[in-house]
Amino acid sequence: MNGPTLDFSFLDATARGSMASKHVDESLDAIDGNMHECNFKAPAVEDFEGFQREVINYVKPNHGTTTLAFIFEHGIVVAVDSRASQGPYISSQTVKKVIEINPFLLGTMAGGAADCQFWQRNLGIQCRLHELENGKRITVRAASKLLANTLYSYKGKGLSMGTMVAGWDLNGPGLYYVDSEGTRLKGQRFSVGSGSLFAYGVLDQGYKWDLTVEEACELGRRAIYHATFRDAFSGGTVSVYHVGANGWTKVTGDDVGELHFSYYPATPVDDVDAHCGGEGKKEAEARAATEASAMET
Amino acid sequence: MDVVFGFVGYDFAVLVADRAATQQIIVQKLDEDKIVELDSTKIMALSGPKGDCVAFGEYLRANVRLYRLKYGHELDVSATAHYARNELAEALRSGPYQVNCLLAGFDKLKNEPELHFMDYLATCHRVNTGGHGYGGMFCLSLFDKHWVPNMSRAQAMDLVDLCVGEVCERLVTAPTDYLVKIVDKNGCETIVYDATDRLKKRRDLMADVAARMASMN
Amino acid sequence: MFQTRSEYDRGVNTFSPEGRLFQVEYAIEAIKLGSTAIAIKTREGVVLAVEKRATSPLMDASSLEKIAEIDAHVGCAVSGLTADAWTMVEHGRAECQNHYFTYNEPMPVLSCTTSLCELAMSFAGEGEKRMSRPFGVALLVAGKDEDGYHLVHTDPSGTAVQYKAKAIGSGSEGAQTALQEEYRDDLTLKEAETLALKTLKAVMEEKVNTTNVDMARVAPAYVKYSDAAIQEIIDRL
Repeated sequence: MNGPTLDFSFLDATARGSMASKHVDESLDAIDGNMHECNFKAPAVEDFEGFQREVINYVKPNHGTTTLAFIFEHGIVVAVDSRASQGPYISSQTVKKVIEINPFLLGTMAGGAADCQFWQRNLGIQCRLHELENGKRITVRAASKLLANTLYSYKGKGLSMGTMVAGWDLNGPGLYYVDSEGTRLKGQRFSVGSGSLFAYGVLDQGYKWDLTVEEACELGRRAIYHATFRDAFSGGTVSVYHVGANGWTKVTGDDVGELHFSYYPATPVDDVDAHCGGEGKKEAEARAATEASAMET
Repeated sequence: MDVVFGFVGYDFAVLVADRAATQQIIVQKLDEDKIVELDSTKIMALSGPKGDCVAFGEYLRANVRLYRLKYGHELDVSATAHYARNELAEALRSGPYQVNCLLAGFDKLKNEPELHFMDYLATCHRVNTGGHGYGGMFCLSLFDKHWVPNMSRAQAMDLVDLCVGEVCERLVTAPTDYLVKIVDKNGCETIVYDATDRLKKRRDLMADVAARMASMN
Repeated sequence: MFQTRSEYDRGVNTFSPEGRLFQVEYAIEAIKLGSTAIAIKTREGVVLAVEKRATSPLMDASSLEKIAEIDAHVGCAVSGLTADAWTMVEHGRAECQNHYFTYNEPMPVLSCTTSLCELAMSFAGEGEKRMSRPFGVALLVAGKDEDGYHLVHTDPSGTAVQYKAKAIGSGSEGAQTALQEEYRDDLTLKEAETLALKTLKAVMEEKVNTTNVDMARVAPAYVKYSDAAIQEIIDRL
């Protein structure tokens, strides 16, 4: 704690203005000479452990996310964003939040990225061994229960996961929500993550059983796009997967910025009212015309 | 917020639980079954964290069935209650179960229905009426006023109507879908209960009152 | 000779004065009682063929499994005590999955066989996982990795040897000689199929049919032959 600390003063605005080459060399010496003994100053607080416990929440990665999945007539659509954040800092815009457990099973990732990746790979192992031992593919029901049992056994140990297990088995499409509290829910429509409220809004309104695959993918994409628009912790690209009887396929991956401009083109238009579909102007003109003709008579 | 309550009637016991699975402010599911059928004459409503409820419910169900296979006769309702209470007591100091439950069943030997109230602190009472959570609290006063011994099934359903109506009208974010399970010596019957009609009646009543008040002036 | 043997053939970890471990040798003998299994490596893949000996006409031959998938790129044929084989196969499966989990790549075939041999040697170890006796089974492990195709023979002593073609089990002596005569480096997969089944046919007492033989290949993925595919090869003989 009392060892030499890194000299960051050359980053200060005033120092930068009058920065001489000597100044830089000195700071480099400090780094070169003591690279292995360098350590950062501990925060000046009375209760260090308490402080650490408190701030660990701010650096826990990937708490902001939007993921969704739903079952419809032609299978399951899974859609996710790709942003990872640590507190207010966006740590990545290209995170793969759909975990491909095997050709018939997908997992989604919300919460701790490390936890999700580790335990879903672990689930992949358990599913594969099940497959080798029994000579047939595991059901979605069993796979989700394996994951739920694993997570339940670690309950209270600090895992943070909210995942959906989606897949196709002998019984057709299957969708389960599993989280680190040990909850496991079977359902037709789920959204998980900080942006889920926004995604639910679009998803619930647009959902129908007899959507076509294209419509369903568009619904998923739209819901995630709107979530990324409103939720600061969601963004990047929207990945859409479709699960059918022959396993999953990745349908699209679109940058939300580009989606925004395709959904709301920023090209100038001559007649604003007509372009936006609003009929207020037409109505007002009609009213004025009627009033005028009434005046005449 | 789970809504769970129940009471005994003449030769049956009733448990009611809402069907919503919620997380913070999101309703994740509206067709959840929170009442576990331990065996043909014993049912248990569970409220608390979802993972614990499922784990505890499945554990009890498996052990009640194992007991029958192993010893050739069934545990009676009060024995099951004591067994469950003991599991909760052990879990309180060591393990995971944070569940509140109501166990209802029909005792074939004594030929009477039973209801047992248990909470996660391993309190256990045999009661005539009981409820858990805020939803349960709204029902307690209704039970005190309207519950009578030896109720018929029709009377019981009226009382369920009253309770659900009260919860829907007064509880913030009250669920509208419920499962009613009635257990007697022949087994367990499940009734899907949709409270929207009930709510509409209340709303019509209030609209009627408002209309009459307006006509007075 | 018999006298000295009886004194030194009980403990699995005790050498005889002649420098032999009798229990391990007896275990290797046990394999010679097993049904014949043959494997042939070619440039296009590895073929596995086994005889399924139903000891009674009332026995359902389809329940005798002597070929197993270890991972998508590794398969094996077994001879000897099949129950021991499943312990090894399950170990191999778990090892392959754990390797994939840790390194995100399929397990190299030689690592897999090394790991199987370590398990075979566990009778010599100590502690809870210790086996009381050597496994009475030999495996022909066929696999494909970035170094190409491999065919490895493992026996109860925990030795792993790579082969171009190998036969184990009761008919192994005759079969191995036949393979030695017929094997060429430029065999095609199709020729290997025929050679494997022809050799098996020569050492089997019964007539070859789809119920008393089983076949699989790793080329490059593990595939078990259907009855129709086996029948097609039988017709080629």
